[in-house]
Amino acid sequence: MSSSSRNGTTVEPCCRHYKKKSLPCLNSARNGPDAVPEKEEMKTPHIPRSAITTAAFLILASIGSSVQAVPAYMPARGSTPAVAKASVGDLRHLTFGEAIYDYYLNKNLRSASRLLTAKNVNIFGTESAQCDMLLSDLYVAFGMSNQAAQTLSDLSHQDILSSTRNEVWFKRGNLQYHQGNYVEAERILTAPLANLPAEMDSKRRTLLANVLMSRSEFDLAKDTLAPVSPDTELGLYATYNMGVAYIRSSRSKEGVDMLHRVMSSPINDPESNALKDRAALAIGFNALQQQQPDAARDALVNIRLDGPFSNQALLGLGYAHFTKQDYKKSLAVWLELIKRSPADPSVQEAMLLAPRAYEELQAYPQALFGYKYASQLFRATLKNLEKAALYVEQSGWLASLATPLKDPRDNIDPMTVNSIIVPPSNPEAKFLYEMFASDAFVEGHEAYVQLDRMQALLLKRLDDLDAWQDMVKSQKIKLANTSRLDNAREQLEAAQLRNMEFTERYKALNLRVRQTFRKARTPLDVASPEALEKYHRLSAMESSLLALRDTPTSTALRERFRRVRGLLLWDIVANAPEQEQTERTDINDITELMNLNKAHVGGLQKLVKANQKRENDDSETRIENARTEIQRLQTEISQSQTLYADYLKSLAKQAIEQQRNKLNMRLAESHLDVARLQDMATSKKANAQPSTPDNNQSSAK
Amino acid sequence: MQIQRIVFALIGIFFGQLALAGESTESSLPADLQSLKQDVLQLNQELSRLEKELMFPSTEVALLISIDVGSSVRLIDVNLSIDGKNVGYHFYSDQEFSALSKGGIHRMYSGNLPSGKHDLKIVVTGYDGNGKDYQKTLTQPFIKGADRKIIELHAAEDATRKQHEFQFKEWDNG
Repeated sequence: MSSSSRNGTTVEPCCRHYKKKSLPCLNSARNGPDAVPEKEEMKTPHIPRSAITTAAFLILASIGSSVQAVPAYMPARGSTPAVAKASVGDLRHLTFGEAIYDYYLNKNLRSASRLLTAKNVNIFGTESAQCDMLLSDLYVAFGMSNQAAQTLSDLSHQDILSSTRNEVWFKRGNLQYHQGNYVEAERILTAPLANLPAEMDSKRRTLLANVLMSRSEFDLAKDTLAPVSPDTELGLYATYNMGVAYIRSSRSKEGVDMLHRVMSSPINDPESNALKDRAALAIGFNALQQQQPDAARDALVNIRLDGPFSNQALLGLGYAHFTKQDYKKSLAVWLELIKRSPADPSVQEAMLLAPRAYEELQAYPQALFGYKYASQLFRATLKNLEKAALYVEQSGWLASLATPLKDPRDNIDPMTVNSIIVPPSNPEAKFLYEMFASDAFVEGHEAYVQLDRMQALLLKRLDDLDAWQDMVKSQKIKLANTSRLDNAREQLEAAQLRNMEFTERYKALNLRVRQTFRKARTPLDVASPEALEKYHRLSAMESSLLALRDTPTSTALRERFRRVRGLLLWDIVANAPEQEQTERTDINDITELMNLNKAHVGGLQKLVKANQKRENDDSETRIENARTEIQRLQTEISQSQTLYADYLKSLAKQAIEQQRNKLNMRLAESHLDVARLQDMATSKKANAQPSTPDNNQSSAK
Repeated sequence: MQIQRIVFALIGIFFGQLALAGESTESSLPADLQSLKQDVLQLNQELSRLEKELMFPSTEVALLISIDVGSSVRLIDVNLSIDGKNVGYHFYSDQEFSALSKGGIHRMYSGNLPSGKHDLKIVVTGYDGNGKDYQKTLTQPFIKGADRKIIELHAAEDATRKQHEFQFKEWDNG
């Protein structure tokens, strides 16, 4: 707001911008008749009054037609648009999106917490299908099969899309199968839903076939698997399972045919290649059992030398040659095998079989050396086994099996546990690899690590509770100083009142601006305050001029007055659009400020409410209850950890004991074989010597 | 023959171990941990809610980042400033970008701001469809009112220019 002075007269600033614009300012000092406005100094053409008025009205008419109604609280151009309230659909989309993000980053606990929190505040409502599907997967990954089954069961009763229903149905059947509830799994999977995708149908058939095979219903299992192509990964596993099931049930021919199909599969990836090796091994050993060494050889030579089944394959292959009395070939194979780790049972067997082959080739010194070497190696292996047994007894053994974490923060997510990795340098690595791969140990170790992570999570949460408790205490101390909150409330109430007052004034101003330019009838209706003031000063002069006697001078003065007034009106009309724009911009600025004020007041109201609530809320009680619950869970977890640690160690000890027994047995055998060969050598020597009196006497003794 | 005995023993062991691929075995685990896990999960969820109430009352402002599902245009990093002050930076690894392209939404920033007008400035770097890197600076003024504020920056794929087009969505969550 500015003040201006003209010819030494101070003009009070007129109301504009943030104050109510009602009447033009009449506070200006009236100037004398000699006062001439600035523009008077310009030479202006003579324009009749009527023409000015007509022109002004024409201009006004054109302005009026272009004036847009300005609604109240309309956001200004270039300012922030009105913001929508988050709908339930929006929150659902955002919450699920965040949960999905965490899920794909393997932050399963965070993902599950988000979903459960959202479900508790009913964000998903009746459209919780996707949320429940994801939750069920997370539950399964966390070993909470009961909860997963319940979630899927609830979901299957909801009104959901058919594709989702198919997935839910299949997951239920799959879950029952993996829990060992074959009857229930069969019941669910036997009645497929319509429009089942091909891949899901193949998986269904595979699971069903496994259930049927467990009951020896092979023909039914075969029919069930018929549509599943053996050239897919799933088909390969299904065919292998059929083959093994046939062999177990003494239907060797059919089993071997199935396993041959697996061996000749074109699929080439590490997992499928391992399955092919396994199939070849099964055929080979089955042939050995059937006393068919050639068939055994033909199967076993297909196994990869660097694969996981190569040791057993070499052992079987050696025996196939031995059975055909091709001792040199069997020796060659077994000598290759004994170069490998002596911890492997196949290698240990070969250590006794290779000297045996030497014996058959009548290379007795080599055989004797072989048996002695074998016994040395068995003793050394036994020593290593004892080292492994001691290592397993150590307290840090189980923790050393967990996968090293890329992100240290991952160690508090019990729902994300990676597979076991045993460092090859660990003493127990070569003795217990079969145990490490067994379901019992894998599941047990996973549960153990989950317990460990849960414990770490609870410790972190205890720290959080301490921090929150301090925060709540300090907040309550501040709030106990009631004058602070009372002051805030008073100021807020005053601000609200002022806001209401501004709102009323704003509404009136807005209305006036809208109406002024639309309903203007005279140029003065659209005049700016300054122009209006000028006009009124001129009007004041008019009566004085009219009162003058008619003289040439007075006539000239009247004429000049008329022109000046006409020009002023012309200016007013010409500036009307700009004036309107200025006023609209002012309105818009006010609108924005009003919105900001509203936001401020609203924000402060909420904060005051929150602080009021904090005075009496139950945060401290909730924190204490959580602390008690954490302590209870910590005790339970600790007890479970001890159980699982003992269980896993007992598995390891059992495996070590079995190997110890076998090694002792083999050591004894090697000693016996050494003694046998030495006896044979001594007997031969004795038989070879001619009989002499000394010899007879000594033999008589 | 001794050797036959050995090998038959091996065969017996082999077939005894020959399990169906994917066959489930009966669990012999020492304890059922399901109810314990359920309690831990429940507690964690309650504590997350309590944390949100204590740490992020009505003054909370959250910025979420999302991209078109299946987008191939790579988002590299995002640098966030509010009212001229740098408040966050995030570099998207391959795994994180993959999570975004599968429909994931990343909560890049969560903080408390007073009510009133604020200015958001985001500098985004990405690789376009031709593998060339680009950088865009985006500004978005917003008014923080009485409710919690959620702002989502969504990167849509512009097929013609093979870059990202960015859209802001804003909500008040009371």
